Amino acid sequence: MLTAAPVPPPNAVRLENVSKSFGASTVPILAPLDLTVGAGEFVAILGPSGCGKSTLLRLLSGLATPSSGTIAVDAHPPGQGDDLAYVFQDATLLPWLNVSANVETLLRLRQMPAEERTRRRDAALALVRLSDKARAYPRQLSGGQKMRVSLARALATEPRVLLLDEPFGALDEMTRDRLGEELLAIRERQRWTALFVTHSVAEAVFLASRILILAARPGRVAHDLHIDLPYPRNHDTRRGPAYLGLVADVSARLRAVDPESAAPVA
Amino acid sequence: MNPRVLRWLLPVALAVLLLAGWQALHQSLPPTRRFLLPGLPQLAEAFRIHGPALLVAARYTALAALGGFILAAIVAAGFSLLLASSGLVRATLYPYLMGLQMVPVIIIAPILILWVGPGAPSVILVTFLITFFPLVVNTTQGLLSVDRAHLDLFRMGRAARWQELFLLRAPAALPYFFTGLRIAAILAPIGALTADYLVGSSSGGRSGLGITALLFSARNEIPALYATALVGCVLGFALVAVVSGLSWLVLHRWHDSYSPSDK
Repeated sequence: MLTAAPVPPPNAVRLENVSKSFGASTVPILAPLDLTVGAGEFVAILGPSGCGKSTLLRLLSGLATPSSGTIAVDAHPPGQGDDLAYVFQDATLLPWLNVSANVETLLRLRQMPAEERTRRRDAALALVRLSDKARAYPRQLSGGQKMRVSLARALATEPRVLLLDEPFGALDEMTRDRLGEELLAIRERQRWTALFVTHSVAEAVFLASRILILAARPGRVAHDLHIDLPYPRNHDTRRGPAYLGLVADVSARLRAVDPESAAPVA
Repeated sequence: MNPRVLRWLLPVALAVLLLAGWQALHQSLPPTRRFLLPGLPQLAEAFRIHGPALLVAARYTALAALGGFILAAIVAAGFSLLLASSGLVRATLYPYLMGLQMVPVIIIAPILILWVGPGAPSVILVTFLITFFPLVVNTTQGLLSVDRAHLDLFRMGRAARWQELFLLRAPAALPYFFTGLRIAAILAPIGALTADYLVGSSSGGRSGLGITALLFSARNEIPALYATALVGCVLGFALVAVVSGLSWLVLHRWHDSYSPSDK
């Protein structure tokens, strides 16, 4: 008699033997890579420039195609299925649309009925606490507010996987910290899986349940670290000795893989 | 002084200065040469005598200019969308578009009369030919100058080609389109006037500023010619003002050229 095989925990993202080279360059930007991200994980990706962090996200989103290997995002090949959202480095809001219409942009591309679009837009704006700015135009917003609209635009698609490419990199530190806290608060209510590229070790440790440190030339995973800080995390987390110890540890490892880093890594 | 007041006061002061200079220049000429630059009283007299006729002619030229201008704006918008749709289409059509602009209007004007008939149709067609090119060049440039990150956003959102064209490229091109419209607005009255001069028909009292100028020229009425030129100038200003107003309506909410910090 056969018993059913135990159902494996669902994987949000799965890369098998994925590599990426550009043109005839001898060193691939990403060496053959195997990576599995479980549903609900928050993965921060750190690494020196040229390690292929952003390339990895572009591969997952379908904006770029791998030179070899296979990728599955929520059991789809990249670029298919509506369960993935991407938050870019810049807010990339359309300047001619007000905040509401910007949040609806991706839903409109899917030709979603107006009623559903409105519901999702309002919910997403409430999540990022910008309901009162619904009629404002992007140029009337601060950098942090623009980024929150950009986040709302991604969240309105009700993604299962959220890719974030240094979303808070251009913001001042206070705003960056506050947005990090808001992002985690939102995640308490909507359990998406996150892959978050950043340059900031502090930000990575604060947000992530797992940190990948990539090394460059060719891009590869140098460290795969589990961050054992309990959620929910908040402002006080940043003052705890456990957090500070992890930041120091991750910084040291990052410095070790970065051949150019003589300067301390923030 | 209040900068807002200054913004109005300075151009007006300059106008007074220019008029005074004009009159002074007129009087500094030897009496036998003064007819070349009539004095302000003579100009006023020309307006008094020919005012009604100039108004009728100006109305005719204005309508023709507007007709050619609007026709060019519509056709240019469609043609630019076509050009922006693919590099191959662009490579194929662009040389001929340039060719269209190179055609010397003075030479083909008589042919145009044979095609579409004298009077308004020819005037509208010539105005169209003159204003079409800057409109297409600017608008196409706008359609192609889309932010890479916005394109990525639309590709991520798996936008269809028509969605990319109409929801992203077209609105992004609006400021460029309006730049084209401004240039076209300056060219249109000149085009209509020249066309009227070349291909207009005076039959049945349907004459524009071009034919009016032709008659004044034949009769050596120099003050009246100046008056005609001024009226043509006013037409151009009026059309540019209308386009500027439209541009403000469409763009002021979001475009940087209307950002409050500029004022």
